[in-house]
Amino acid sequence: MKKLYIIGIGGTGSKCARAAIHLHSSGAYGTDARMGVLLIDADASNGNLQAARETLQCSLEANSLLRDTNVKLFSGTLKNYGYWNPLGEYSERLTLGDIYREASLRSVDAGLGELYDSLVSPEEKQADLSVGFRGRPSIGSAVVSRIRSTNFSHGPWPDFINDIQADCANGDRPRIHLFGSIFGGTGSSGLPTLGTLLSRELKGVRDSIDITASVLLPYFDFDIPDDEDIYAEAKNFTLNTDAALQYLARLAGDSFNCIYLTGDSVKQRYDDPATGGPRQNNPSSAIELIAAAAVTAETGAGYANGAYLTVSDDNIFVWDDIPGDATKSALRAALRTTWSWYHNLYNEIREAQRASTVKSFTVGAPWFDRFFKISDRTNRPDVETEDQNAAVSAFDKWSVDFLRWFQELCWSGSAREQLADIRDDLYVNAEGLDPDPRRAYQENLEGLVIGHSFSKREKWRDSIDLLKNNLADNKHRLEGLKGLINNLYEII
Amino acid sequence: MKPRYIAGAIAIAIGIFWIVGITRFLITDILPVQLKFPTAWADQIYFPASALSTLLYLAFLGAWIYYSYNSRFKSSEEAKNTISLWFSILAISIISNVISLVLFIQFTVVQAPAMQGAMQGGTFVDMPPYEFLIPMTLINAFLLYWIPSCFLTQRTVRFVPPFSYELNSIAEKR
Repeated sequence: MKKLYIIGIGGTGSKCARAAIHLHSSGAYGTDARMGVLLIDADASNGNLQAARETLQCSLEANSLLRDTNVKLFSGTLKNYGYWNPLGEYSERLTLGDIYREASLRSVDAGLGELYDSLVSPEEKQADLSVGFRGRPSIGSAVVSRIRSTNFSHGPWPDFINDIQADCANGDRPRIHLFGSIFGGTGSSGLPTLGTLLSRELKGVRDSIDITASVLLPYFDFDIPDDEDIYAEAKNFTLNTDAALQYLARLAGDSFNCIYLTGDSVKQRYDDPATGGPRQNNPSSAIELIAAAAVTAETGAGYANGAYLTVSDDNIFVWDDIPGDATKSALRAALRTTWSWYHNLYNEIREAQRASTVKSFTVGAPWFDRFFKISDRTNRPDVETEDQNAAVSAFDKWSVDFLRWFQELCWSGSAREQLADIRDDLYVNAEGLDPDPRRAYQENLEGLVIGHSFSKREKWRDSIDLLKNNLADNKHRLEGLKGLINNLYEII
Repeated sequence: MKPRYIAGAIAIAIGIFWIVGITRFLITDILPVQLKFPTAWADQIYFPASALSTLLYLAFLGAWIYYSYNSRFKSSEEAKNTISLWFSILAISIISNVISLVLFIQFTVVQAPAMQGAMQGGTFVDMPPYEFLIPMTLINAFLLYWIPSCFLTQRTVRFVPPFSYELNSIAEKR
């Protein structure tokens, strides 16, 4: 079994972690993968961090109710190690001066105070760090490296470290994969620092562990945010990147088995930038998907000084640009499954629940009685039970989250449609137990995945209706909603 | 081959046996029809009319199966609504059965067998046994359209014909 531990550091790290969670749930990492997720950010209210936490939560719920070890979808287990704030227990408004106790520092040693003054500008000293490190790696490094003094004994770290050591004791080879940008504040300071500190902390079992990282080079751009006097500035990205890469190459590189650098020559432009807080909820990008695909990539034996992976077209991201056939096929199957669910099966299940009799519903839905009870002759689950309702809600939440995430990928960095034709859809969470009138019934899957060519007959056959018929033709090992979703995923 | 297809084929065979075999026997030997020469009437009017009706029933059945195989439905509701089409085809098939009987009755003159003709004067015009023929068309439709459609309807609308779910549950354990 693959034991994967992913750490998302900062806003971009959270976005990559979100992509990795969706890939894991989609089955891209294989049926035998166990993934633990730890999110790190100094800005607890960061919009991208919140989005990743929501994705993790809904994935955990769907995973627990729909998981079957033989089907890729949700086949791997997921563990939430929670969230760690490097600022720890400090108060809401926090400055670097508070952390380093500037006054006492000067009183103890005037020289230290002067060194502090030479390294930190007056604005940086006064900046409120509760919304992150504001694109300043120097601030981030100073804060994150303080974990050394706690020996990973606080927050989620003991559990995280113990699990890794237990895996090693069981003869497994766990892999720790860190995500972070190298051009902002939290990621560029946290990723090399944490990689190095983890490598040292686990030195007893270091040979049995792979520590890898997806490092994101500048791939977006924005105007100066209007929210604070000290802010992340896109113009500093290149400088930050240069400094962080030098640090990685010279000082931290040995801590990692392999580092995957990903970036984009065409930078996406964020229209409504924010340095931190809930407003920093930038849309997901295909670059993060590539970064997430590296979680199970080879750790670089034979790469020598490096290898390059490039996309086929600068202006558009296509399916063939997604690394790994397994990633591609799992993602495509998950997209088609969730889209079919959102635009068709969800309302069908709700219609069945409110039909006068489920048998009358089956007249137009021959697949239904393969999964749900319509008479006492079978032991299949009743569609109206609480268990089934919980499964419906859990899968629906995950589907909406997945589709929203994928929709952002379809928009990212391109002026025209890419990957899937869902750019104009609106994905909303359902409310109540009735069919959702906002979800128009769709039946045709043929145009969903962009770049997949069909013959005329194949086009006609690529439909939700025929998939449902396929499900209706045979008995299934799994029943209830779990059976419906897993079997649909397998044939889709 | 799926059991339900075998059941459908058996249903068609029974229907054909009924319409061209059993009904003829009923007319000639069982039912109290007001015909001077029931056998001649059955051979010259009923048999060709029922043969044509059989072909028509099978054509209507084929049309329904073709429609069910080549149609796609967005929802259960949309699929269920095809029941009106199924009933329409049923009604049309019964009407076509009646029309073919009426046409053969109106435009065919029964030639009596030689012996009987010599004794009773040759050509006869009988009172057709409509009181039996009309109910028989309903049975014909039941056996040659309804029951086979229960087993042979394809894909999403496979349970739309009335009682098809129950019949299919017998043919195939669901």
